[in-house]
Amino acid sequence: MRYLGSVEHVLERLARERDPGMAPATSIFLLILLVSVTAFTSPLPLRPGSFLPLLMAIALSSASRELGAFLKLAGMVSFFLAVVSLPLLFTTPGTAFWTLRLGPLKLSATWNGALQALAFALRCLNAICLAVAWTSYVGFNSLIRGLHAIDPTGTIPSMVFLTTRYVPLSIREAQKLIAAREARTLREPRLNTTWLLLASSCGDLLLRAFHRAWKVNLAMKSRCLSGSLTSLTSLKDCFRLGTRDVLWALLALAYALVMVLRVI
Amino acid sequence: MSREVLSCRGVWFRYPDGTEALRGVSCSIHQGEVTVLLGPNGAGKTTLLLVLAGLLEPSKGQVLFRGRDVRELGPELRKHVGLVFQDPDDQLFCPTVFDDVAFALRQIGLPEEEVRIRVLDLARELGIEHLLDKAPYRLSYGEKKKVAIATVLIYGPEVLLMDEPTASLSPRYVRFLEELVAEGVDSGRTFVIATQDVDFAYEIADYAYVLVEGRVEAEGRPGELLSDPGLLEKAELREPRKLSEILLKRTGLAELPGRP
Repeated sequence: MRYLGSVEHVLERLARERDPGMAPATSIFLLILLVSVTAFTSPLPLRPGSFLPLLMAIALSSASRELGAFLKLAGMVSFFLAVVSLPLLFTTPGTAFWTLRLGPLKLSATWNGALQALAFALRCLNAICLAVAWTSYVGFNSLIRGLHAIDPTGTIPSMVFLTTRYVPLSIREAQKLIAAREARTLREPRLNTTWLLLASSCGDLLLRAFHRAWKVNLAMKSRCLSGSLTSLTSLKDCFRLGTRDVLWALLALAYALVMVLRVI
Repeated sequence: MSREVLSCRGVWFRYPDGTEALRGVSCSIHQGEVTVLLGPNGAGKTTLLLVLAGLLEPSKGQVLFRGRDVRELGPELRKHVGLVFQDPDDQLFCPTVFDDVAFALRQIGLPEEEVRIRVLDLARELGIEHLLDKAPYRLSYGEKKKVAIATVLIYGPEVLLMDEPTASLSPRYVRFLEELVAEGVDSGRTFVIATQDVDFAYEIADYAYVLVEGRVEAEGRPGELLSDPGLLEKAELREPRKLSEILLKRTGLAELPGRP
């Protein structure tokens, strides 16, 4: 329940309206640039440059006063990445430093595997943290408006807008469902029992979230006075560039060069 | 005589699971009046409101706004007819109360400064100013209900449809609602309220429809309908307290010893 609550809290903070002082197109293009450069630039061998994205992410989250939420998220992502990258430790060939025997099965952890796992985890962590920090700095809404620069028809921005509304709703439904089931299990709630409850209520959750989404869609429709969900920005507004846009673009380009050319 | 603003004729509605929610409902809503829809759970009150708001299309029959079919009007109807849902969690979907109240205004493309002024004015009027920066789902049920009403009042629809506005709420909130409706009527607004709260209905309504199993069982002045024991039993309602007190006084039973 606390985990779901934290996820909801982070999403809620990201979705809040902010004024980053830059054009929506700049915010979306720089997000794509920063994240793709970070994700596709190998941080190995470990150099000071490998930690540059994390430092940038911390600086951005501090600037948007979301450092606490960011650190929580970074911790959570690191945990998941550690779990996901663990198989690399055993599947990469190389010199073994530890062997795990499970009956007839012999698993050898190699130095190459450890390095691969670390590289994968660090690369993902860097990219995710930078994406989240940038989003918390510019705000979800600015990014959604910026999507109009990529898709002027407005289909993708509308879909993303609706997703940002429906995901927290589904999480809240899940919380209610788990609370109702936990209340009737008559036992002390534990992490594993909560996950079991959540797994057993996936079908119900889907139906409930669908029903809730239908109602919310009606509520949204009743307040979309122009007929359908209108974009809150025009293409012209999307590209209204200012000094801050130029400064951020230069900074992002410098970052990209540092990462690609491995300057540090 | 007041002018008919919204009406439906022989409306049928069937949900995809086969439930026939409305079976030939006809009703007429007059400008500046408070019309209540009474009836037990599952009588079709909510569906009728959704149909009147143009959000559900009837399988048969016609819904008219100022004499024009709502199908012709399309989204234009939404500017004139606002709907407050029974569950405020269905109505509130933005990250902050401010964003939720501002949603409709932003949709019609008003400048941000004007949106801000209008939202602050309405929030002050309804006493929800202190909630504007909060997330809607963190509010109490009563606060959510107030915010849900604000999200519709902000664009000033001339007809306000409200689904069970008094359900699970404190008497203080019910008083607030009664005042809101009275002020709205004074300024010419029309209300259609689906409710099971007979005291509230008796207090505020000019006209009432009693729905049972998707059909209009009876219509008329609330005082007349709510004093008909046969109808009350059929619609699973009870006599309003005020009406009971009047009847007790008339019959002299109120003076009997042991009665407060």
